[in-house]
Amino acid sequence: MRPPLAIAIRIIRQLSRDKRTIGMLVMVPIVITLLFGFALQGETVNNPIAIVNLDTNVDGFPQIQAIGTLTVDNLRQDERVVIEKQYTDWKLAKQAVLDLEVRAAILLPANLSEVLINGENSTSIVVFLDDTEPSVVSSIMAALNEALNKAIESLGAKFPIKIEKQLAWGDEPLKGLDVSLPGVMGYVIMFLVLLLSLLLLVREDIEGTKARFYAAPVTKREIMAGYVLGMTFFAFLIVGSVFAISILIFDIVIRGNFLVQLALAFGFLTLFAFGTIMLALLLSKLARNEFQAVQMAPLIALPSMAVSGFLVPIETLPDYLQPFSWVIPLTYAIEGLKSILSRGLGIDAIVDQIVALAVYSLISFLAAMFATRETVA
Amino acid sequence: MNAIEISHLTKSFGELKAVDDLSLSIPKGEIFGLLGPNGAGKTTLIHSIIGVYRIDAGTIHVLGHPIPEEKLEARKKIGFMPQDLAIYSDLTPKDNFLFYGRLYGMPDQTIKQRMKELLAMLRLEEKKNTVVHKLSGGQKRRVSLGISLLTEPELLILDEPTVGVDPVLRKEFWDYFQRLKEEGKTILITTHITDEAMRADRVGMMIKGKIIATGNPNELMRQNQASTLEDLFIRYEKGGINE
Repeated sequence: MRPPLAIAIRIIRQLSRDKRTIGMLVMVPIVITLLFGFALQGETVNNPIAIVNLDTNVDGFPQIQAIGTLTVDNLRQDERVVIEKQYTDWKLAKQAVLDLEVRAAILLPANLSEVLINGENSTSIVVFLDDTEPSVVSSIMAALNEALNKAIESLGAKFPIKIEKQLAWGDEPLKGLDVSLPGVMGYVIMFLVLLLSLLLLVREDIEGTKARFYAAPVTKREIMAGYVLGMTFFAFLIVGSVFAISILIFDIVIRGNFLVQLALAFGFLTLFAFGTIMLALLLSKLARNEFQAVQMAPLIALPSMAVSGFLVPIETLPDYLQPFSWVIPLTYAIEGLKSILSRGLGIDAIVDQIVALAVYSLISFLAAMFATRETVA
Repeated sequence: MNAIEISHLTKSFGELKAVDDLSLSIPKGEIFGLLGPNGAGKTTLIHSIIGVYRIDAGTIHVLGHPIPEEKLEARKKIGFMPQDLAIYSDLTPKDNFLFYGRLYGMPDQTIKQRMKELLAMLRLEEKKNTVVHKLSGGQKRRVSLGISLLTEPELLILDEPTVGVDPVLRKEFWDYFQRLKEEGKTILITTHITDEAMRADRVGMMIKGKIIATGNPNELMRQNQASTLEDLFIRYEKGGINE
């Protein structure tokens, strides 16, 4: 037998004896392809909006329905948006956007129909937007334009109406990386911290250092705390690198007070990294060698990427995938980072995400302790 | 007071009884050789003594400390050398010494002083800043032994310390063990090499989770009319001698 063939046969035999590796080799591509396939086929639909329709019928034209009413009716027919709230006070509608209850508030002004019927172009429709998700913004704007055009056409009016966009979280619009940064940061932290922690932990087993570790006068909790501290240092390094490149090369927009938001993002990511290290402690009980450990990281990280809102908004996912989004920690990490970096909000706006990540860390920690309880005293 | 006092110890993994109703006393200042084939339960016994495993039944006292209740106190007085090298291959010997010393709560200055003595004794002074994976097999073993001696432990537990070690280094190791014994230290050493076990004060023959005989190796041989410890061990294993 020629040496290359002998080597090839040896590799196949070696891998086929490792049932977990074979299992993962088959499972990883199937799970990931299915998830990405289902996740990416959706359209951005059911985006929640608030409407303030101040438009009324025009005096002297009782037979003509107001443009505002027609536009609202048309929007009701459009699956891209859902009218969650209707207000008469514009301030309340804007507040609904700021409270993250809806993605946009639309103001149809009082004289809309009159201006159009008289052939003037002196008023505008105002859209107050949460611009942290570009595909959602495009979808809402497209739906509004269509609804308005249909309404105007039905009246035979000629002049296109002006739409004024107001950004909820800052005047400077978000571009490319500004929008993706929370996702990139959350994913990079999850993937690298998971991979690094898994490799370190599995290596302790392989090199036998764990045996000496457990024979030292230290408690399991102290060992875990040591790992968390060490890995958090690397998590900081990773976050620092991503921030440095984003700021120095891409000049990203961070809304709110730059230093305060940066510090908050670091703190929030530390909590996420903590949970991920705990998850690695748990998973390391399942990985018997470095090869298995290396495959476990993408098995967790890639499906998380597909359904966490990193690639497409969660509302875009098929209904049957959306429940998975809410049990995946990366979803909360990305949403929290969006509020900190893209919305410039403070700690009170991310309480839900902090609680979710704290619960994730606690569950992983308890499960990791439970996994070692049988053998280690 | 005995250094190790074990009474009716049982530890199972699922259906497998790795240690089966085992009792053993090792007095202070003794070198005790635990002799047994691979899979006899030697490592499980050692891990139970250190308090790594939860035991199913029985009691263990190490240097007067009940295990697992006072395992952390006991561990401060134990030096442990596992079967694997158990040193970080991407760190230097100096880094490894510092890490393990700190794990035992030793001040850095004390670690450095003790490391200097140990590296001199193990002839590793020139290698203290070389990354471990660049050291020879024997040098790695010496680093591993050095770490287990770092805290000047009262009890030294060595799990097959001479596996893969050449005869010259093995002799050096045993000479050192004898010196430690003269200093009053207790040594529990597992091995499956019978001529090595001859150097112990007493040996325990461990087979299928039980210690089937204990005593001075020469006396055991004389009592059972065996020419070598190996011969005696094989007869025990085949069931030719009753417990």
